[in-house]
Amino acid sequence: MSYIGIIVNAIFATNALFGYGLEAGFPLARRVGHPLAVALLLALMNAAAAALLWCLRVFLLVPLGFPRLDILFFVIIVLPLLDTLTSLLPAVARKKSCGAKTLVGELNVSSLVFGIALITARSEYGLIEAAVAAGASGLGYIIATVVLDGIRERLELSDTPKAMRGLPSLLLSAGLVSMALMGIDAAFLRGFGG
Amino acid sequence: MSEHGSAFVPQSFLLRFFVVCPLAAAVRSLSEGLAIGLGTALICLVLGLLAPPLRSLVPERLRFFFFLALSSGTTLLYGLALEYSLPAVAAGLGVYLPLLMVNELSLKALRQGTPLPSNTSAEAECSRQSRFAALAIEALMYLAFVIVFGAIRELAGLASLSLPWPDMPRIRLLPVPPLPMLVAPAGGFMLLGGAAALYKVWLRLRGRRSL
Repeated sequence: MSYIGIIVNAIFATNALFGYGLEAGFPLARRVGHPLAVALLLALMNAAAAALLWCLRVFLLVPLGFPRLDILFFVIIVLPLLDTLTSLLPAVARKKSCGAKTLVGELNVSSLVFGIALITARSEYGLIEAAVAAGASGLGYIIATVVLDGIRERLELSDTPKAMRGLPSLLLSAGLVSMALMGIDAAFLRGFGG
Repeated sequence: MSEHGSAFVPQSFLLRFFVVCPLAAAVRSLSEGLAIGLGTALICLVLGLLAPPLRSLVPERLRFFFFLALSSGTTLLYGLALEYSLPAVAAGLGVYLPLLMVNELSLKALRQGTPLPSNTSAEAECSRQSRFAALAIEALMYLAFVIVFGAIRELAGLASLSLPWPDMPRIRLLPVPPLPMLVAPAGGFMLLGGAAALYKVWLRLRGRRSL
């Protein structure tokens, strides 16, 4: 699959939130900066985590015959490296007082970053492809969050039964969006993106 | 920021949504629900038991990574045991098995090991016991919920129930699956929505604050 195909696939067909149910909800729900900056930060962190885990698996764990230990090595090696790398980002260093550092720390251990890193590192992708797919998954997650927030705003204005207000209607809407995204399949994307 | 940042403003039910959404994709059958629930409960209990006594032995700077490594080690051992005993269930869960270590409940247990101890040892011990009891109850409730959730999804989506034994055949209970969509993540979200609505009604009937 071409890079365009990988990106479209990661954003829509296998969306991190609607397809895999992965989340980083708590940190993203805080007001920490412009959404675009948060999206770029998340994409960057996902790409870095996936690339680091891919290198660890391919160059160390698979030759030694212990690919299953990747989750342990993720915690011991990748997480501290990721923590150091992201703390060097100017945006994070500048916004220490606004909780950006906490955001990065919590994102590192969220199921989104860890799950996407595992999925891409364990797939058939090469290093660059894994990093691109992971970065696109981060962007896909942000898009999903924005879509959900738009739905939430509409639902607040509509006349829904009392029992369905709030979380239940949001979950039902997420199910409908997820069903819509099921229509975009990998075969279509192969034809579309090459 | 005010207009564009609305997606990033805390919303109490939006936060709850993010806590439950991994279940929509991970738990598709009774066996998977049991595997996920038992794994989460095991990690919570291990962290709840080991984190408080080990807290003073580990430097504060390394504490979080140490307990996360403990959690990942437990997850790894549980995954290997599951793969040995029930390979089909382990294969079906795939990446969701390692993700148990960053489950919201596991992270909650992990955070219990990281705060500073209380002033007096008696106070610390009392607080430790009550927190462990609360965590154990929460883990058991989570286990019960994921088992029922997985069973309903499997029954409605596949018209059968698969019991978690290696040679146990799938028990067919209905001639045709009534709602095949429930096995997909979309169906999982919808079922969770129905469960949340029922929970809301139940809370209202008991005169308590709603979701």
